[in-house]
Amino acid sequence: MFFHYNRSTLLPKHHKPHPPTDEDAYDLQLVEAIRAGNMQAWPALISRYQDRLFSTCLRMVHNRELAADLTQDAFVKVIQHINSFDGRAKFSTWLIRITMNVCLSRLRAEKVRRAASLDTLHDSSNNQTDSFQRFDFEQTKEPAAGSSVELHEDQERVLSALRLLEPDQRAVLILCDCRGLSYEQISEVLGVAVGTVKSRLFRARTALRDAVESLARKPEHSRPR
Amino acid sequence: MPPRPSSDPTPPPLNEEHMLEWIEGRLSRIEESNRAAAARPGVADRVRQMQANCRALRALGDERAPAELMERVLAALERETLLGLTRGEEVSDHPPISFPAHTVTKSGSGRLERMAPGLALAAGLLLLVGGAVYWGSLLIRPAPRTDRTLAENAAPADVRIAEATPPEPTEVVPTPEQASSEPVATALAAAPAPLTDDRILQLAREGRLLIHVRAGDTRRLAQLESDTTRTWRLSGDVPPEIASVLQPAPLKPLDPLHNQPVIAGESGPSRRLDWEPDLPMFEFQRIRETYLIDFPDTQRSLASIRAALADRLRAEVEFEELPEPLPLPRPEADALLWWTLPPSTWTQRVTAPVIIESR
Repeated sequence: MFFHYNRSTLLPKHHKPHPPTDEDAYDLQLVEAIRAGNMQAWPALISRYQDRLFSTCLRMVHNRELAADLTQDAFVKVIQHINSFDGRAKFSTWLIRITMNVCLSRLRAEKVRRAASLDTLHDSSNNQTDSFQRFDFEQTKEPAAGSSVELHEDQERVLSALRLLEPDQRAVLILCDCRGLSYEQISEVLGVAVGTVKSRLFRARTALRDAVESLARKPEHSRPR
Repeated sequence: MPPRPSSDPTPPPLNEEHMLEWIEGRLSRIEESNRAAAARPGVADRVRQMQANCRALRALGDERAPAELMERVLAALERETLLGLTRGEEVSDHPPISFPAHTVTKSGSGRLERMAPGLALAAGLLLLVGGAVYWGSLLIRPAPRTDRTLAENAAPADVRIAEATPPEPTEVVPTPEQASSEPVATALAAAPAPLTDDRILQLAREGRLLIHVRAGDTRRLAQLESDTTRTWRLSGDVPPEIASVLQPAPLKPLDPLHNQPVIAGESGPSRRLDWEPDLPMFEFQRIRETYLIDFPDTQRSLASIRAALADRLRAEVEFEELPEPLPLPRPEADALLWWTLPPSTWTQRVTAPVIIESR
């Protein structure tokens, strides 16, 4: 399928410089207020980031309830460790790092738990898709008015394929494409070298393309839902 | 540096970074065309598919978080705040509630049980030795020197009498030198030791300090009372319960007839006399004024009080210890202007009664 993409959506966000913006300055003001004991700054900080963090969790686990739980866990960790934020990274990057760690820890623990009882689950032919069967994907967002049906279908297909990837590959794709982080920021979030980020990202893109193709070849009822 | 198209039928494969540049749209259209032309067959199609996936992901907007998420996080924040976690305190894996652990101190109690007979024996020996020492000291205590002298000069039978008979009290007639020096010595022995500044401040904290001022000139008393430039304040506003405590009990008049009941009629020659006898001066009548002074709990302010009272009133200032603490009032709000000073300068203030009497 040939896709006529809008170049503006593919602009290289990663290589834009990231000087401190007003958003970053506001984040730091909130953090300083919290550190000074102003508890009223917490709701402002939470409402500022809850949608972003929830969306990140939802893309990772494809389940709204679980994503809400993970978002809450991430915020609790932020509450516990707000004093350890040293300002070397952007506060938003620090938040994403915590959130991604919470998601990856959950997915890895789930993988270990599932591997321990693998023989009691489904047949081996569906193992890959079963990996995320329990996380019912709920894409509740309707396509924006005026957007093409083709784009919405592509999003559905890509999101379905995203569930088939390994958590690490999913994470790097979500951070790069959904959150628009640079390679350097992704390396901060995941705690790996920039070269590793590039390598993992390329493999993730290849795996996503293969997953989309495999889903296109499968009959409709066998796709993960 | 993007590879240039070449005439080589098998161009070298693009590395991951070049592919990412291509997929993520960081190349111009011309560079993209050149790279597609240089790539092996099929690569351009795969890149287009990846570009489509990339664009689909980027077009995804943020999902709205559940409405209750904020409440849940704030509830968690409240719990964490109560635990003190927002101050960066370490979190234990265990719940904060501690349960009494059932520990068996068998080894300790067993050791005590084994040592009990030894300890009892040691205690008994100690009692025996202590008793022997005590009684021995009583038996071998030497007799008074006078008795021994009498016994030495007396017969053996008289010695027993002399030892058994208590000595007669002998009236000692003091010599003139002794007579003149004894009252002074007695007075020195009876006079309490002068209070140190630390002791004075301690008494002030306990409400047991009385400052007794015998003034030679009380004309500047009002000036001292209205002086607000000092760190201490002298106030004549003394609660009646304090003043009544500080007033000495009136002395009984020396005239014994004064207290005798008068049996007389209300009129006539035998009526009761309506004049009072000339009573001697009571001690409390010498008290001129009672004041309260509040001052910083420092030796420096104590020295300032002592110097100012002695200088302004030409007085002798004595600090006396009261047997019981007085219910002294707390410092007033206008006396707490030190609140406006930096905390490093804050000191505790104490209050003490001051009796100023003229000499």
